[in-house]
Amino acid sequence: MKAWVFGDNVDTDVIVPGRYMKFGIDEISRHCMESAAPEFARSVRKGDVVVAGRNFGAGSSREQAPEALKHLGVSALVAESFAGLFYRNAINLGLPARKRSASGRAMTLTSMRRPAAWPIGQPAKNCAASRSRSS
Amino acid sequence: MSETLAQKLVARAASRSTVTPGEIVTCKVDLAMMHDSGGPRRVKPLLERLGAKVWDPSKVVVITDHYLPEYDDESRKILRIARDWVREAGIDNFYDAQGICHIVLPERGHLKPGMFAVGGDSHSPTGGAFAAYMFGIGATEMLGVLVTGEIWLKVPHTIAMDFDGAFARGVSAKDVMLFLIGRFGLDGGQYQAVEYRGAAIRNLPMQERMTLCNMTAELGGQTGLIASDDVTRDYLKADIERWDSDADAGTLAHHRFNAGELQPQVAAPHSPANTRPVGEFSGQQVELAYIGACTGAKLADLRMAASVLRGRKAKTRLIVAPPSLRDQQEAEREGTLQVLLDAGAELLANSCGMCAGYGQHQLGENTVAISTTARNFKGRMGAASAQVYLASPYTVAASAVAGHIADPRGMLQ
Repeated sequence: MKAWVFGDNVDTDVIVPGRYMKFGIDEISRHCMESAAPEFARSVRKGDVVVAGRNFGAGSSREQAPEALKHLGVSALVAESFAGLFYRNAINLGLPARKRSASGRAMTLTSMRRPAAWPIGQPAKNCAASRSRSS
Repeated sequence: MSETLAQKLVARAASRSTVTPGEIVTCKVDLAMMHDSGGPRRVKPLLERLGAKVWDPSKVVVITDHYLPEYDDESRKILRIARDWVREAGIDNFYDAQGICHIVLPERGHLKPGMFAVGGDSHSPTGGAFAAYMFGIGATEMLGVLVTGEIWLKVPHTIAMDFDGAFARGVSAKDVMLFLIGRFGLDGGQYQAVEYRGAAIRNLPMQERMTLCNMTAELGGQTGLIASDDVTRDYLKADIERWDSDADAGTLAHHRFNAGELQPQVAAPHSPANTRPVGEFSGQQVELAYIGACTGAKLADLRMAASVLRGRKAKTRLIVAPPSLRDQQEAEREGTLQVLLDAGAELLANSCGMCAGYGQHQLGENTVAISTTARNFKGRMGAASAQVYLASPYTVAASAVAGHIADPRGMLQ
């Protein structure tokens, strides 16, 4: 597992550039972070985490931003803070997004409980089951 | 108990007598707006998976703007989905190729003070200029709204931005926002409600107020708000409710500024927070001037540009994209558009154009541009090597004439 470290104010145009938004998530993901870290999309592996500074995800409401990170296998985001709109989108898609602790130290990954993924359309009883399994 | 405008609006939508900042409430949504990119294309397959229908088609407004004009198979397909879906879902409020959603929505009378609304676009806080609580959401949250008619919200604190006095000539709402974003940063709004107040704000026309609330997105607020008053009523041409903060309502922060001291501002690549007064950039060469987008080419913005461009020629390439068909027609009728064309402007369609970087018109490699748009993030308007400076329509027009970044105050007519 690898941690990909970025700075402050990583915006949604960097995460998923607008000119690829007309495509499906496979193609969009191929360009994820390309202007900040050209090797990211082809080198990131399932389970890797993204660590960032303040205001990760600034900008657009485009849900493909967290969707592409998840699609590439990123298992969690840890940042000093997240842009509010991006944060809601990440949670809605089941991509764990964790703010660093007040001491400024990133939370250890083992202390991060993966939230239950609740696929849309799944009956409520399955949601409850998946919730109990993850806790 | 004294309450802020934000608290009052959220309390009404949550069917509560009062709400406290920080608590989580569920609000009934009066209006849900979507565009072609984040809207039907994304929510249609999800609704089908759920076997669900739109809770109230009369409360949904769909406006095409991102992929217009269609230019390839992908954009044609995306627009086809929007056009077909509104028919299937029984949505009558559909505006196709009429302009950018944030402008068309109030222009066609869909917003009024006191409403609680969501939009599938980050610049949805524009609606706050009408004393409506409106904010941007992603497609999955929009799905939830479309099925239930409700959304959860953490009741925001209010950050008050108070401008006393009056803005100088040649200084506009764009300068106000670039200044605030430069001063407080892209997360200065802390995902709370930012309320614009004071004599200088009350004297701004509606379209300038819309620019303030729109760019609350770049300031990192959840929404931007302005109390409703006679200016709101005159724009909407209707009797309206008066919504305002109580004078002594508590705020998270209250910043006071002397409006008269504000100078034209310019944000350097690649962030709207890289802002300094225009004089610090004088002489910076530019090869393209773009007057477009929901924050930079409304009728009020076109008039600002014309006040500089009248009788002058642009040395740079000058591209103008009015954000609504109605604004363009009015600019044509009154002669404003002709002034821009005489200065050498090329006219693009009434859509998001180069601002979002979604369409056929994009900045090429290493292009240096000055633009009236809201964001200059790396690669947003085209090539990642392009350099985009942000400024007001006055400053962009002045820079087009000079061929380099120029202070518009000596060029106003």
